[in-house]
Amino acid sequence: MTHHSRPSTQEHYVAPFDDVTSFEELKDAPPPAKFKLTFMGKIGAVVVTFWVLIALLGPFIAPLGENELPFPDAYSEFQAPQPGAWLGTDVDDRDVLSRLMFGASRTLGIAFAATIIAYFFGVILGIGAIVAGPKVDLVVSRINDAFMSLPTIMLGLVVVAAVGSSIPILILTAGFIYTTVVFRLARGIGMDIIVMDYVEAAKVRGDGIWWIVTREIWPNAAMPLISDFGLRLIIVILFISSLGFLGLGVQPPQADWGSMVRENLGALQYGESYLPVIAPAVAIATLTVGINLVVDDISSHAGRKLSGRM
Amino acid sequence: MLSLIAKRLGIGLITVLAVSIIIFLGTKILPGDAAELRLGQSASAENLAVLRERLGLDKPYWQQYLSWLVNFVQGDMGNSLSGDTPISGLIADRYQNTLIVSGLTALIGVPISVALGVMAAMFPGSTYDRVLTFTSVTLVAAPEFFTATLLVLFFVLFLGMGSTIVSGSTDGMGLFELIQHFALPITTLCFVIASQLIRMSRAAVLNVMASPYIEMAILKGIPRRRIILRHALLNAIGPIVNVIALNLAYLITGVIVVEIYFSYQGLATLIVQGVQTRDFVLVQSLGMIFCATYVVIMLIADIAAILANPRQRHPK
Amino acid sequence: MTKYKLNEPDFESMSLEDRQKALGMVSKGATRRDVMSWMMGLGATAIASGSVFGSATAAWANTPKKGGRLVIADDQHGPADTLDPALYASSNDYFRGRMFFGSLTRLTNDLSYEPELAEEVISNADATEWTFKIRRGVEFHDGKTLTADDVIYSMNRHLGENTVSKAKSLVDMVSEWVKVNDYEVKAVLSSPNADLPIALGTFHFKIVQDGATDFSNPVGTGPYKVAEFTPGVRTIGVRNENYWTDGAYLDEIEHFGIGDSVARLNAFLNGDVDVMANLPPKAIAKVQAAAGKEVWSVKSGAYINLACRMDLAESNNRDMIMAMKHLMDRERIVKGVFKGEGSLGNDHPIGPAYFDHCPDIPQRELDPDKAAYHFKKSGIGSTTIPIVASEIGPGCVEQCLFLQREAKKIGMNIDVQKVTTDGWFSTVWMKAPISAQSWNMRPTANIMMSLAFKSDAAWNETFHQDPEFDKILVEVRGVTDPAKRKEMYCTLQEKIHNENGCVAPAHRNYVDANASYVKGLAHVPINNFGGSECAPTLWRDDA
Repeated sequence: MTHHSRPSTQEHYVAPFDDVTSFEELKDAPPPAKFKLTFMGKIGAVVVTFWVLIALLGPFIAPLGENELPFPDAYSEFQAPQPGAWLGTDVDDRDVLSRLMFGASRTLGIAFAATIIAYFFGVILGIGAIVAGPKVDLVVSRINDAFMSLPTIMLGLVVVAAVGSSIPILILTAGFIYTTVVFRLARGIGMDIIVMDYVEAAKVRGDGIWWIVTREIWPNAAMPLISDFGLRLIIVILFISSLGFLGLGVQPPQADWGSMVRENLGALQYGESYLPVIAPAVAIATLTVGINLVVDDISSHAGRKLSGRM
Repeated sequence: MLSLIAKRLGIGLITVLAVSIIIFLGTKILPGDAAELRLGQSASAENLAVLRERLGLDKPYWQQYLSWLVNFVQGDMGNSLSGDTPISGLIADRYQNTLIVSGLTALIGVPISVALGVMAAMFPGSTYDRVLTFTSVTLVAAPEFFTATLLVLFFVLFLGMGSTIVSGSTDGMGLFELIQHFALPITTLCFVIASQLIRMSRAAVLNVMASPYIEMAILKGIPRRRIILRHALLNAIGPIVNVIALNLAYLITGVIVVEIYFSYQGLATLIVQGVQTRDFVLVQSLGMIFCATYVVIMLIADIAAILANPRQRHPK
Repeated sequence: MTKYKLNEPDFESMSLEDRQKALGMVSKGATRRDVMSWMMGLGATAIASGSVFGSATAAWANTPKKGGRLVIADDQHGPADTLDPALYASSNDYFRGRMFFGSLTRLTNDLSYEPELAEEVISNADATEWTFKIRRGVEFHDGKTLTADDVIYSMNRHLGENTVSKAKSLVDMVSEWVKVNDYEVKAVLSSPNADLPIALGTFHFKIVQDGATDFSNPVGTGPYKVAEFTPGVRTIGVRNENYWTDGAYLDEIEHFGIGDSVARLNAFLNGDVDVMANLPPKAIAKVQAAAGKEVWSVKSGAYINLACRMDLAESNNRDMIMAMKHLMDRERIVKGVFKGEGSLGNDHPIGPAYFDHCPDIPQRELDPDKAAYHFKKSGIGSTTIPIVASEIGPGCVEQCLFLQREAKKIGMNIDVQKVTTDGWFSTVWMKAPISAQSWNMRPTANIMMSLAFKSDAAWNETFHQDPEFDKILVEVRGVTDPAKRKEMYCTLQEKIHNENGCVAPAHRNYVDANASYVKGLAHVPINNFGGSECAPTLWRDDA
């Protein structure tokens, strides 16, 4: 997380310049505990699954195309829900429901792709920096700090304005920006773990680096990383919608939830129905809450597993 | 401990230098240079050459970089492309607005949010805790322009209070008048930072609560409220200060949407305009200022964390 | 005091003295009864006295009052805002121009002109020499008196090879400005132009002081003086107490831009701004229903269009352009987007609101078959055609989306790239291969085409080169035979209609909105805010 878009709850895993760790007790590697969802977690999982399904199937089952008109002969925007347009029509007379379904796959798709990129490079670089030793770590960390000290939205603006907005560019930009955050997170967690005594013990035993990473570091780092992953998705969605507010996000007439909220804001002011703007906002909100409910379960689980370092 | 602070200071300086190089190279990679942009597409080759020489764009990169950096440190940021107005003037005007809004937001939003979060930690699992957690999670999800529109509709058009835009000069306004003047952007931003601050301060306190010495205190029968206020809070200050710092930095550099929505002119709007008019010089200067602001805020947070947490004073 | 023997005196037939007395009573808050008892004391009947009260009240209501302040929200602003009249590029520049400067002539609501800083405008028989007698006693804001030197300096800024003027093509037939004496100047033309005084009444030909080069805090003769000008932030004008004629009623005008239309509308409905530019047509009904708010609509020949650059290989494809012209759902734009506040466009700028509009060119309509024919011929295939658009005016983005929808049906791929309004004119316009534009109406067809369609015009956004077009455009300026003139103008419009990269689907009215207490609105149809002509006459009836 950089400071410039909404930070996540996982920030506290990372001390400001996180070369400080503290452990009092000697411990073996914690035993793998079986992970179970609580009731709220299950609700969250259902909501998230619902949206993932919509994202996967939406473009195929949507009643209309995202730029198609349900009522080609009516010249009226923001119509109330009715047969043929079950969530009403949007600012350009299009079907809100269809756009919401197309928007689901685009919004989730972009967020997922960008977050995967961020995680791929962030985790490799973060854990790699630690494994490679203090000198490499210092250099990589300082470069990372430099990028993190620039506002995300500014970085996004400059890149997107320079090369033009398209979905691959948006994904790469968001992926790159959040790589810096994931790097810090991964490095912080890895750092905490690598000084743990069971890792030291593995080193003493003469196990190879690969073995240490896959058997010792990764199993312990996975949970916090996974729970941050969920929040990162939401942050990317908001980042893309902020770019959209500035006209640099997903380009019309392509629908994504953030830009749907943005382009239909007028409905609150002069619409027959508020749904065109409320529907995508509720979609973002339910997805966020759903992910958070699952993540809360994961982090409390991770918290148990990592209680030694807290 | 002093050496620790000195080390942090050094790291901060290195970060700023690294940023200056990144920013300088970044603007060189982008197509077009300042001379081309200023003269427009009808410029002749000779005119371009003359202007390049005048702006020093014909020198090698490292010379350009050094003279830019030296001038910047001395407060001379050059002229903007579009208006030929000194950049330092453009920035100074808007920094003031930004500082007022972020300052007031921090003043109001931070104490309330932290207090709400700590209270939730006092009664984990209670209805209050659940409602608060749920609300803050939902708030994370609301795009800023959506929150802003709802606030405008509710407060201004429904209740008839306040103003939907922020215009006019703030010269000579007192604290209360300023809060009134910037009421809506401040409220919107409070919502934005609140969700994270609440969750983080709650989590930080709960983390400390799980530590062995607190467990000991609980076993000794000390009331939970007293444990939190006397012991846990002090130890949770480090992470909380860190989050507050991140949010302050966000408030100074990241409030683009809110600024544009309420039409007041702060730093973020300036950077949007700079990017859109391809005014590299302006963007470079703003990037440096943002970076410096961030580094200073984080430095203060670090020092505060070191002072608050005795363990950090003596690293392994 | 006059005794009225007539049974039915009306307000107009009363003596000046009594009219003033009646007005005075009304202005001090006199009731119907007060006025009636005074009138009946003069011998008038009750009915007559009642009608006088009504007329006096109406007359009082239309008498500008001094004082008060107005906040005016334009629809965009940015760091490129300027107060240099020669460099004006957008509506918000024009509005400021009218606040701070005067010009030789002033446009009227019917698009003829009346003298302003010139007292008298005289031309020779073939319109090749124009003499302007300069009004005496007009003072600049710094107290200096306006003379021929200022006029010559101001006019020369638009002449010559090296001028940076955005409006040079309007006056490029002027070979020389000659100072006759301190209060008389003469324009010598290389070719006849009967419309020169109208051209000089447009936005860019403001009179600045002799030798002025720094326009950060300029000195003009306008109704307001610059109190603050911060590009992209705000402009404040305060009353010029020495304004040479009626006007300058307000103490202060604040002017700035709010790019986001919903935020702008919120600000207006809440009373944070008194006047707003470009009311989104979809909000017209809302404003009409709101108490104390009015829609300020002016019928016009303004238009929206796509500008395809003919100097770039990627956009210079006549069949592609023709396909786009046949894919425009013009009806939907006028009815759906403009809510009826506009008229169908015919791929040329000269709509029915212009005097020289050519009604004989058949209206182009949505025709997928013709479009498919041209699309096939164009050889573009599945290559994506990017169009850059921004909400610089109502319908700008929608025209692209509608086009895209229809294009998809024939297999043509259009990619709409939407960007913000801030900085649009400095970064996208005339740079992108295809961009969506919104054009103001100009006072005459000739000016419109000279500005944006003549091959060497600064704003020739399609970069189309056509020497024959240029020749006719120049020649027609001196043609006085109506039939010949009509034929030539039709040729010009037909050429654009068929050959130019201008795809113009609709003309729009200027739709702004104002609070009911804002009076003195102008209705010149060449820009928002009544042709940006309202600044001198604005007043508040609650002042």
